[in-house]
Amino acid sequence: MSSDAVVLETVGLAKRFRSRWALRDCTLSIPTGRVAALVGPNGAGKSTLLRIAAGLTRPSEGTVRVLGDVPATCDVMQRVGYLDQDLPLLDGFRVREMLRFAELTNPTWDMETATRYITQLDIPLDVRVESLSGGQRAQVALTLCLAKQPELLLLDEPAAALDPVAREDLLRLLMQQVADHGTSVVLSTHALGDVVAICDYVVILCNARVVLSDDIDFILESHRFFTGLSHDGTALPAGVTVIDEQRTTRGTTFLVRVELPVDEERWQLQRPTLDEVVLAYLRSGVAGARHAQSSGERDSNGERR
Amino acid sequence: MTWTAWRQQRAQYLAFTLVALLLAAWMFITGHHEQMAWSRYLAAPCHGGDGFPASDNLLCVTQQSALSQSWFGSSLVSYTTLAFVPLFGLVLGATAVAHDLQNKTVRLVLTQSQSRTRWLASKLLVNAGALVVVLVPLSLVSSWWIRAAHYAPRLASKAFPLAGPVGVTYALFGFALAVAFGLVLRRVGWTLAVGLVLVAALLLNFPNQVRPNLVSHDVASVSSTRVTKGSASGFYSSGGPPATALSLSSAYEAEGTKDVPSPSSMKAAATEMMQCEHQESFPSCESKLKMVMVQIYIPDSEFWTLQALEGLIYLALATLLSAGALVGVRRVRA
Repeated sequence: MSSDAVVLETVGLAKRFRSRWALRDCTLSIPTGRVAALVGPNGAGKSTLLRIAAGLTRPSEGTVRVLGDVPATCDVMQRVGYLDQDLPLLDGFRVREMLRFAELTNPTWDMETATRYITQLDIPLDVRVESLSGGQRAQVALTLCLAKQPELLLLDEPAAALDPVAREDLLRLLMQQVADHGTSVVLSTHALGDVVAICDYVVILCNARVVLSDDIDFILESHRFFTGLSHDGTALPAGVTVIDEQRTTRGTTFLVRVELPVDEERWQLQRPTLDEVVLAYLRSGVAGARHAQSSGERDSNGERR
Repeated sequence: MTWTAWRQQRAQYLAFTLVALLLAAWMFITGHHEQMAWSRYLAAPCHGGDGFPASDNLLCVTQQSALSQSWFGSSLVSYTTLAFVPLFGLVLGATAVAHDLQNKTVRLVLTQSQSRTRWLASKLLVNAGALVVVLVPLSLVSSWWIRAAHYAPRLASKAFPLAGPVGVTYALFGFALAVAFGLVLRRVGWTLAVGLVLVAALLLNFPNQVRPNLVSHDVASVSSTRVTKGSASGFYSSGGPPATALSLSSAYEAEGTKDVPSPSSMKAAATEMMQCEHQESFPSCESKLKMVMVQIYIPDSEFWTLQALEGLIYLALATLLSAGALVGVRRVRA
């Protein structure tokens, strides 16, 4: 994949805060035009990755390229919109003044679009930002990103604290931008429902490491539940990688990554949902996932060596 | 960014401008009042207390008492202004950068299409401009007030910062210090606390430790005469530096010498005089050892030189701190 076709590329990226690693050995490559979700538990490194990409903090190790260039240069920042999870807006400013601030600091700012978004959302322009509800704050903060007309949006849990209506409004605004301008999006979220609804690419982070990064369609195609009776001792077919296993008295179910096509008659096969795949990766944690990726410590029976 | 920097701290500019206006009004009113009181006291019949007729005793004593009482008010004006000027700079500096870091609004500001250097440079320029715009007129009023109120010689420590524009450079230094520390400490409260301690330490020590060494000194001899009346006796001193000068220290030196004595010669002369004074009075010792007491002072004519040199020192420090902040901001974690 050429670097032109990649919006965010990291190689061995790591960030350490004193003795704690917030991100380790992060290598990924998100193609242009995708809506990519960063999922993972709290402290997995999602926000750190986004802040490094937005040029707000420097990595301790490794390299990162955003839109083919190093982050934090004026050229890159002009093409990137970043929305922080704290939704920071300038104290004491009115909504109109926030728009003016963005207009003065971004040469590609589209005031007409910004005003239209704010008006559509029924947010008064003359109200101070402290008076806005959480949903309105998020909408204003997102509008600041969108009207900048960026090629890439980096959104850190944009809908985390929103009620369902505000969440839907926010996601609709976001998808409108993606549809109109083909903007690439990388967003971190805990809401797997949002991932299914709007994303086509997923990066799973766990314990500060990337454990899976791929197109959602490919992920769904390349994972299967293998269910069999626990006592028949049937071995898993060669070449599958076990991600997670659940044993009951009646049988064992493996979530495995497979190389298509799957032609297996001894096991009962089932397509997992994206939620099930994500949860399996998160449950298995870094160690399990790494073992699974390397296939080094489990054989095809799913038994530990 | 200029508009953003101004808009972010608009409330502080307005609050400090209001305080500066109140101080200026206070100085204007008290200055006029004291100027008139001094004019009356220095004119006939009181002549500044120098030989008025007994019939005007009550009037002159009343006028003198009124002037003494106004001294407390003048001190209050003086010390309030002395504290206000660097505090203005410190508060603007602490809130300019540390506030954005503390509230995480820096993440919004630094992800727009502009460099970090430009963001900080605009904050530095706008705030420095605000300080100059507010404090230069205030320094003009305060320098007039120092003269009008006959508060103290303009070289005196408590009057020097108010008698010229050097106070503006204190504020600029305080501002730059708070900006630089704000980048490191990232908390407004801590930045203000550390800034206050450092600025206070420098401003309190500078007049004694640094200022006297910035210009050459003069010496003036002081002669002492024994006066005896009945059983009581004492010494009457005459000579010495002009009233407008800033006295630094006194020492003994050989008669006829016009130069400022060196520390070693001052020490030797003092030892000789002490030994002599064990047996005789010091006027006798002076004539016996052919020594004379001198006072070392800075003449009033050096006022503007001192204002310029001290102002340049504080401006240089402010520039260094600002340059450090402009370099450091590129590495600050947002």
